[in-house]
Amino acid sequence: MPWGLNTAQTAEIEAGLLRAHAHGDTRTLVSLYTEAATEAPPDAAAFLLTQAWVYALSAGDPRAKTLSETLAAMGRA
Amino acid sequence: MKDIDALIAVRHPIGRASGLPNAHYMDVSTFAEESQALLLGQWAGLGVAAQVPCPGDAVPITFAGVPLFLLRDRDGDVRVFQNVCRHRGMILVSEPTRIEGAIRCPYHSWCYSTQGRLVATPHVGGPGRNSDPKLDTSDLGLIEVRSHIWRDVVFVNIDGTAPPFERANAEVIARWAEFDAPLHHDGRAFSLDIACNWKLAVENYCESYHLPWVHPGLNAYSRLEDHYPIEGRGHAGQGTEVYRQLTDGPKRFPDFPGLAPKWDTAAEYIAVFPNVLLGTHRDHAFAIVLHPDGPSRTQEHIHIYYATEQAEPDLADRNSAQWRGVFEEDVFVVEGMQKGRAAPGFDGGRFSPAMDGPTHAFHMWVAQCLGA
Ligand code: FES
Ligand SMILES: [Fe+2]
Repeated sequence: MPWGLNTAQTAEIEAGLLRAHAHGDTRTLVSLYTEAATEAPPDAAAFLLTQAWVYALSAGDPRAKTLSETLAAMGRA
Repeated sequence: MKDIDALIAVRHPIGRASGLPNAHYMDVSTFAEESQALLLGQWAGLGVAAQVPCPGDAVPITFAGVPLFLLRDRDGDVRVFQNVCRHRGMILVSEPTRIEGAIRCPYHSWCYSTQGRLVATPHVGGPGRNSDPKLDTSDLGLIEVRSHIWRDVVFVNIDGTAPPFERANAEVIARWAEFDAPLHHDGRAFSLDIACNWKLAVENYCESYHLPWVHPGLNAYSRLEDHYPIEGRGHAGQGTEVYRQLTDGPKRFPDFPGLAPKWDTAAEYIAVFPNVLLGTHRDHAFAIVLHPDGPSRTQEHIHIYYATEQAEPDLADRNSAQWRGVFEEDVFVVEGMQKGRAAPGFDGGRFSPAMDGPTHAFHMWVAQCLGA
C-alpha cells in the first residue's frame, strides 16, 4: 500500500479507488480517500485527505470545504 | 516575408491598386507575420457565447496557433483563458466539458476557479503538504485574454494591444445600433472546412459582384443593382434593398423590435475585420467566425439567430438549409482563388473600381496593419 496501511478493509478501499478512478467517479473518490485517511497515520492521512479535497474541489462537492479546513488544522493547507 | 513595395501598391487608389501578392495566401512565414499583426494584435472573433450556455461550460479553441478556452464562469460571465497550466504548461481543457467545481489540471492536479484563480496546489510542498514557503503562488492564476461580446460573438485581443473594442469598432456598432436586441441562437450551428486562406473568405464575403454568377438563386430576386457597398473603419461589406422574408403560409419569423421601415426590405452583410462575417435582416441574423488553420485552410463556423427564443422549427430548418446552400456555393470560388495563387505570374490582381471597393478596403486594412 502506498500509504502504509494494512488489513482487508484497506485492500477493499484500494480496489474501490481503482474502480472509481477508472470510471471518473469523483464523488466516490472523495468518499474513499476520506475513509482511507481515518485509519492512516498523520502523514499518510494528510496525503489521502489532499486527494479527497482536490477531487471534491474539481467536482464542486461541498465536502471540499470541510476537507480544506481539516487540512488547514493539520498545518497542511 | 512581406514585400513592402507590394503592400504600398495595395494602398494605391483602387483603379491602380494591386491585390495582396501570392505569398500572403501561401507562404508560412508571411502567415505567421499576418497572424501576429491581423489576428493576435486585433479584435478577432473566437466563437459565440451560445457555445457556453451554462455556468461551468468550457470549450477549447486553438486560434492562430494559440491554445485558448472559452468558459462561462460561476457568475455567468463569459471569459477566455489561455489553455495552459501555470505549473508545467499542460493543456487544461482538451474537449468541450462542463466544469462542476474547479478546473483541475490533469497532470499534477493544480486547480483553478472558473474566475481563473489558483485554488489548490496539492502536494506542492511534498506529500500531503499543499503549499511551500519557497514558492509564491499568489500570481499564478490562469492567464486571461481580453474579450468582448458583441452580437453574441466573443471577440478576443490576444496580445492585449488593441484599443478598446467599442472604440476600434465604433462605426459598425453605430451602423447597426438599431439591431442591438437580444439574439437567440437557433441551435443549428454548422461548420465548413475550406481549402483556402482565411482572407479569401473575407474578400468573397465583402462583395456583391459575384452574386449573379455564383448565386443565381439569390439573384433571382436580388439583382446586382439592388446591392450597395459598405466601407468603414475596420469593416466592409454590402447591403441589399430587396430582402424578402421566408414564409410558410401566414408563418414568418418575428421581427427584431423597433426597426426603421427601410429594414422591411433591406439587409446588410458586413465583414468585421479580421475574421467575423455578420449578416442582419429584419427577422434573423447570422455570424460566421473564421478559424485560420495554416496559410491554406480555414474553418467557417456559422451561427444563426432570431428575435425570439423559439423560432418556428420548420421555417428555421429551411432558413438554415438555405444559408448553408449559399455558403457552399462560395466554396469553389474561394478554393479556386487559393489554387490560382500558385501561379507565379499572378501579381495580386486588379479591382473593379465600381464593384470591388469593399475587397480593396479589406486589402488596404491588411496592408496598413502590416505596416505599409
Ligand atoms: S502541469 Fe498542471 S499541475 Fe502540473
Ligand atoms: Fe457569395
